[in-house]
Amino acid sequence: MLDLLKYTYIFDIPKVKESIERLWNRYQGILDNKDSTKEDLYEARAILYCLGKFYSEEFALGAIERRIQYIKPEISFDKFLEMVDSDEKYSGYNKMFDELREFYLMVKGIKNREKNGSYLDEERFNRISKEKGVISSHPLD
Amino acid sequence: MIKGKIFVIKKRLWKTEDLLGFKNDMILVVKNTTPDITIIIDKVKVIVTEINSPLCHAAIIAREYNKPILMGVEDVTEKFNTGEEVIINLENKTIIKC
Repeated sequence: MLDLLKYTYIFDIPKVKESIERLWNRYQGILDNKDSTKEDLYEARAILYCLGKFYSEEFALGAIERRIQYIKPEISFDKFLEMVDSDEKYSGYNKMFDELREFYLMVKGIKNREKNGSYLDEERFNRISKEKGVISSHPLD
Repeated sequence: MIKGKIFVIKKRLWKTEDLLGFKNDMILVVKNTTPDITIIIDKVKVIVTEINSPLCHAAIIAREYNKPILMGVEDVTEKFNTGEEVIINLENKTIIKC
């Protein structure tokens, strides 16, 4: 998780992607392993919260907000998101626009990631956690 | 100002079956959206959420499908029930019963 934050500060997008996939694979590994301990499941909970909420909705948001001022010509944060999400044609922006776009699309990839019929495989996580008596409330709350 | 009938989902982790009964032009009131929303997104008049982040799933979906959204309405899923008529003011960020 520290790598994810560190590479986001550096804004090394390939490394951010790698860090996300590493966390996701660890999370899936914990859920797949019948011998996972309570401690493992709390680690899975931490990963789920980090990817599903803290990183995607707060940390990544700050990373974009801080850099939006470096896009030239000037563009507002809302307009940037609107342009990317509506697939609006654009031209004439500097490299920062493309970098932020790539980063934002990667974050969107997390927000749209579904497995076994639920967002970030949360339903399976909840079921396994309940079976092992680990958690009584929603991990993303 | 947007007026309409609301469809409220009170649980946070909801699925396609929880959308049963959603009719065209209803206002969807949820804690947050899940990827299942895409099934009914064309019928949604407005999305109202408790969560409030420009990068939350609901905000992304609203921009992608060009739907109005009212975010950050505290306990909205507890205060309202399916079938009630409401008026939404997106500028003042309010939702009131008719």
